Amino acid sequence: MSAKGKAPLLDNNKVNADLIKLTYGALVAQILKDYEKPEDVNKQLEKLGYNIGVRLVEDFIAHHNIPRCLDFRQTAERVQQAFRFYLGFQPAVGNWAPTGNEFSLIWDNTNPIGDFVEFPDNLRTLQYSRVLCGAIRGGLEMVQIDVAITIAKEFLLGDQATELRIRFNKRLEDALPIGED
Amino acid sequence: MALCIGVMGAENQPLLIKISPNIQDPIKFHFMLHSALDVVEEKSQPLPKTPGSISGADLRELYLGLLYPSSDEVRVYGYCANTRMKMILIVEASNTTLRDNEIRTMFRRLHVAYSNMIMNPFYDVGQPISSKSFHDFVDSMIAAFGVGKLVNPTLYSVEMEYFEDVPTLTGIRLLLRS
Repeated sequence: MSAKGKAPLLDNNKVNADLIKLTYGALVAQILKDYEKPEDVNKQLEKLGYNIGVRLVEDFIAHHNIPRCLDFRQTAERVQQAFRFYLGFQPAVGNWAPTGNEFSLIWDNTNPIGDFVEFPDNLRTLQYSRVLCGAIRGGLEMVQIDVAITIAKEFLLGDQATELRIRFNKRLEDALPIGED
Repeated sequence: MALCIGVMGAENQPLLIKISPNIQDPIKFHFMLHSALDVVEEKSQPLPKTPGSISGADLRELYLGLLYPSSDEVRVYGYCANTRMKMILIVEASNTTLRDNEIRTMFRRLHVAYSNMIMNPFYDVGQPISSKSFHDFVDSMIAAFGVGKLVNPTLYSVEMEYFEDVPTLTGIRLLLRS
């Protein structure tokens, strides 16, 4: 077992990080058995993450008194904060595009949800971290920010880090409830 | 040096067998591994029931110690986890630097590596091990304990053969003897 994933065992409200990783791993393996094609699994994971994200963002805002973000940099900070809050350790924010509408979340030398995973060669198209992308996308969509996320680097596939590239698409004006503004 | 490391599953099926490359006849080592499993089986029988204990509780240690009475060439050690996963280690008898304690440590490290490997969600428990990191680890273990003749530390692993009608090592063992 990894020494990294130590969570306070006595705290009833928290579970050990290893448990999350194993559960997620088992889930991915099961989806893979059901869908067989890695591309289909990616889609499912994205959907799964999206559904987590749209719920989690509400909890996040409620618990942290998060004010409105004024620019995309603040958004990045909030996403980072959310990771610390829910996954226990936070990614670095970096690689900003000069235009300020694109950044990366970077976990050096690790994958936050895949400590034990070793990919068989025939599964290299499987995007294990897709669930994180989905969660970020879902969460931001609920606060009227439309983003596109790609996995730039994947530690599990031999890269030095896990890097998610997040690009700002547009503000979702339509999603505002009628009568506001 | 460690000449051979074998990892077997609960049903005595081979999960991983690695034999040092400067061995002329690897088949002999397969034979030794198989017969070592008999001894493991014997040693890992539950102790007779004693008053007050849980029925059939295992009180033995995981490390089983020397399995064979020391022969001229090799010594065979065994380790059997509570999940009935077995590990067999064959070392040169002439190597006097490997004492019981070192063997024990080797087994413990192997066990930790195995448990890390088994955490991989893409590994099906009980299937032959294909994990690269575990292979590398076992390779390094065989190489690390060889200061003697081993010049080129590249290793090969022997492909495991399955007979369709006798999938376990027990079956193969019987075949060898008949």
